[in-house]
Amino acid sequence: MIRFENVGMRYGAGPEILRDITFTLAPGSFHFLTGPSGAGKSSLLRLLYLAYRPSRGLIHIFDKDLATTPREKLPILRRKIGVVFQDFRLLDHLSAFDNVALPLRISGVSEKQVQKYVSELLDWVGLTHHINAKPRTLSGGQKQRVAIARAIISRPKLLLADEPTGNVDDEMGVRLMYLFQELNKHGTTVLIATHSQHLIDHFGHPVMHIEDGTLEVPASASGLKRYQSMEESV
Amino acid sequence: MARTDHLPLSTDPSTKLMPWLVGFLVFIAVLATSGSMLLTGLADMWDKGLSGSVTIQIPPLEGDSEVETTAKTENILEAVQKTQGLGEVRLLPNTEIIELLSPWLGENINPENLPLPKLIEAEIDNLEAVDFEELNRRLRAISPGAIVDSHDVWRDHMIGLLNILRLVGLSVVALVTLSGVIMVVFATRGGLVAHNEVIEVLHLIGARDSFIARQFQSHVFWAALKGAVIGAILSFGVIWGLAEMANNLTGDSNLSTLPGLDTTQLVILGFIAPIASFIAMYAARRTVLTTLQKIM
Repeated sequence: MIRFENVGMRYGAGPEILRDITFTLAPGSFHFLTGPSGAGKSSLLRLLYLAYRPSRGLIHIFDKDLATTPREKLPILRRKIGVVFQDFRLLDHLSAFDNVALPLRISGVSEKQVQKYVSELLDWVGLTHHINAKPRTLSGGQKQRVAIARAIISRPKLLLADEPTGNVDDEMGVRLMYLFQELNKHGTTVLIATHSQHLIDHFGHPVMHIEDGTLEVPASASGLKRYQSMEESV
Repeated sequence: MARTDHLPLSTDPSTKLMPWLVGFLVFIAVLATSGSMLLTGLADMWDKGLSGSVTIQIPPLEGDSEVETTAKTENILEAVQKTQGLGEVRLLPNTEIIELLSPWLGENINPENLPLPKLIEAEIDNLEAVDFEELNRRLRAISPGAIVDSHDVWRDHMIGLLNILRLVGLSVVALVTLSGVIMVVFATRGGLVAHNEVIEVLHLIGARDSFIARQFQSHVFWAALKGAVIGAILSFGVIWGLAEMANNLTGDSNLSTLPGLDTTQLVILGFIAPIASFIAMYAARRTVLTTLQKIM
């Protein structure tokens, strides 16, 4: 369960970028996040992938209150979150294989398993012939697929993607979305920030819309009251 | 864990210089430490050598005839022989006294023209049993000009000087260590700034601070070890060269008895390179952990 309650966020002493953000993401749910550029989508994702702490409000990630979670516990939470960054953020000095293998190696998975899982996934995203290629030699679409493979290699509980199909053709875009759906069927909570109305219409998942730092949520993500009443009844 | 370098540290200009700087610092540290060891050995040697004997000087008194001086010398010799704590007593012959004076007065010393003092050398069997004040008083009663020289003053001055030099050597080692640590801290901070984006990605993927610190400490350790080994080898070469030069210069003179470095000391010197590398590694680790602690 991901739960935000009246969350506000500002960078340093600047103006508040996000205001009174309240929503819940049930385990295994799939949502799109839309909104114009500069509305706060990336900032909201940054809070979700634990790059920042909120300036106010409460965030519960996997039922852990972020405000009371000590810094040394954050890596364990982050390992449960897969992120596809809009600018990919691949490590340029590592090959496609090593980039994808990174989350597994950080988690201490044996090298034998790393070889198996990474090879399989790179094959699935059509990069078998590029496993030793450095990111700077890959096209935008290939980089995006490496970034997606890195985000999902460790089967995260929460997958966050910022425009994950922006640099691939329609066919690959739909294929990647089916991959996300497959993960979602296995219990991964998925939140995808996108401008693509085509994807939203095609897959029909609920949409959270952010504009000027405030969030409009669909019924499926506004279950805070429902959650609170559940807690009270317990 | 795979052997992949998750941070491209080998391309950093700051860490590229590290082997050279560590090598230079280890070169100085080994020389300073070996110097301190040599001075310690020298001080011990002088301490032991000069603590083992006492010299009694009996200058010829004005108005005393040769016979009177000889009689006083024999009385003093007898008194010294009876002194508790002293062992073998020996009256130095004139030829030996002339030999001792020749570096200052030349080879052609004529005892008839130059009144020579009488010298008695006594070995100390038990230093604590010898009452030098009482001995001095008794000998002066026999011959007012008699001087008991236990070499204390000269020895104390020389050992004091050697101790100061040894302290200087150890201070150099301490300063070199401090410089090395400061260098590693700045190089590591430079690396953290240069690879800020990669570190952020590693963090967001779930890397602990210790994972990132391991990348730095491993890189710093091997870079430092490479330089340290070269620095140590060069310094051993210099020590060997200086020892050869000293042997050639001193020949069979007394200086050839300078204490050398024993096996234990050589092993200690050999350990300076890995110790320096471990210090560098630890400094890098602490710097990374302290710096990362300040970010989320």
